[in-house]
Amino acid sequence: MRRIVRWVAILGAGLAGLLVAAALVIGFGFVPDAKQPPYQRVASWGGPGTAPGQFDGPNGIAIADHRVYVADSLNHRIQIFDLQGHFLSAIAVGPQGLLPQARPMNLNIAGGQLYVGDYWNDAVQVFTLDGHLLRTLGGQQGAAPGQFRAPGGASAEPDGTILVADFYNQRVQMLSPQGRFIRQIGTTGHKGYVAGGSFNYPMDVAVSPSNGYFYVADGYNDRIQVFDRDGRFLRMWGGPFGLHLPASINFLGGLRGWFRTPTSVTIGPRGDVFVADQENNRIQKFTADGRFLTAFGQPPQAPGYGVGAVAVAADGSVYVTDLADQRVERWRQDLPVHH
Amino acid sequence: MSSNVGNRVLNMLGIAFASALLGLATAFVAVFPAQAATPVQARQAYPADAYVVRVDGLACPFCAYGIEKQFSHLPGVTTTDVNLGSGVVVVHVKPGTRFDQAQITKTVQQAGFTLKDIVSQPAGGR
Repeated sequence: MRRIVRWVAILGAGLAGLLVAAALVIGFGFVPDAKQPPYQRVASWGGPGTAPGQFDGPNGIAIADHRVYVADSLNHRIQIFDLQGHFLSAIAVGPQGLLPQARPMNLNIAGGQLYVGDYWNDAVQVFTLDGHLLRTLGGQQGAAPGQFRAPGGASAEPDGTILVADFYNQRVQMLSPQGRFIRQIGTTGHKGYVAGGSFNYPMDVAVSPSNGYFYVADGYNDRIQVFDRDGRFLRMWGGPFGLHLPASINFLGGLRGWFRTPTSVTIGPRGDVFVADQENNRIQKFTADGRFLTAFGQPPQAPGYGVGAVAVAADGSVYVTDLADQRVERWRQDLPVHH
Repeated sequence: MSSNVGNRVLNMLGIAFASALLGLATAFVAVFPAQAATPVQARQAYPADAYVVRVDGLACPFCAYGIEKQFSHLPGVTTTDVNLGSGVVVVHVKPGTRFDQAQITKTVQQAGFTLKDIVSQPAGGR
C-alpha cells in the first residue's frame, strides 16, 4: 500500500512539475503569437529522379537575378531554374564545375557570387551566377585553420570575408576572399550547448547585406545565433533564451518560435530572417532581431522530413525545398488588401 | 482508522493525477506526432554482401551523409544506404571484407552517433 502511495506521490510531483514548467513557458512569453498572416503554397516543381528538373536530395537553395539555384545533393549537381521552375542549366561535376562526388548542401548568394558548401569533399566552392567556377577553398578533411570537415553552408560579408558553417568541426570560420584564415567562432571539435558562440553542428550561415550581421543555423542546438561582422556574439533564439534543451526533452520544440533542427537560414529582401525548421516541417519567419512573425509549411506526401532549405525572391515569394517529395515549392503571403 | 482514510484520499488523488498524466501524454502524441512516433523497425531480409547496423540519433540528411562518408573511408566499402526513419545503415562491402565490432563502433562514433547493434553481417561472419 505504501509503495502505491509513494508512486502516486511521485507521479503527482511529476505532473505538478510539468504544469509549473508549462506555466513558466507560457507566462514568460516563450510562445509568441503570429504577427503576420501565414503563407500559402502556390506552386511546386520537381520529383524524384536524375533528369533535368528532377531531384535526389535537394538540400540547398538560393535566388538571385530571377534565377533559382537548387543543390541536388545526391545527383552531384546544382540545377538552375527561372522563378517559375523552368529548367535553365546545371552546374555539374567537371574541370570548371563541382568537385568529383560533390555533395552540395546549403547555397548562399552574396556579392553576386554563389557560395557552395560541399559536404563530401570538405570544400567551399565559389561560382559566378552563370555557373563559372571562381575558386575552391579547402578540399582536404581537417581541423586546421582553413580546413573543413563537412561544411554545411557558406556565405560572405559585404567586404568579401567568407563565412563557413564547419559542421563536424563545431565552428564557424571567417576567411579572406582568398581563403586565408582570419578567425573562428566556437571550439574546434567540441560541441557547446549553452553559451552563445558555441555550436552543436552548425549547418548554414546567412549574411544581412545591410549591416554584415550573420546568422548561423545551430542545427542540433535548435537555435539561431547572430554575430556582428567581426564575429562578436549578439543574440540567439529558439526556446527559452536560446538555451539548448537536450533532444530527449525538447518536446516543446514544435511551439511557435522554437525549433527542431534548423537546417537552413536566409535573409529576406526586407531584412527578415527565414529558417527551415526541418523536423517540424515548417518555415519560420522572424524580424532581424529574432521576434517571431509567422510560420508555415505542410507535411510531405512521402515519408520523412519535408523541409530542407529556404530562399526568398525579391518580390517576397519564399522558395522551399521538400526533401521527402524531392521538389521545390513556392509560397506567397496572404497579405490583407487595403482599399 | 484515520490513516486508512488518509491512504484512501491519497489513492484517489494519485489516480486523478495519473489520469491527468495519461491525458497529457495522449494530448502530447496528438499535438506532436512526429516527436512521439516510434521509429519503424525494418523487418526484412538483409543483403548478404553488407553489414547492417542500427544507429541512435539519425535525424536529418546531414546525419545520413555524415555516416555514409565515414563508412566510405573504410577499405572494402562499396556503398552505404541510410534509412533515416528506422536508423538502419546498410554498408555494402566487397567479397572477403571483414570488420570487427570495434571498427564499426569507432566509425559510427566518428560520424557523431552511437552504435545500437549489428543486425546482420556478410556471410562468413567476423
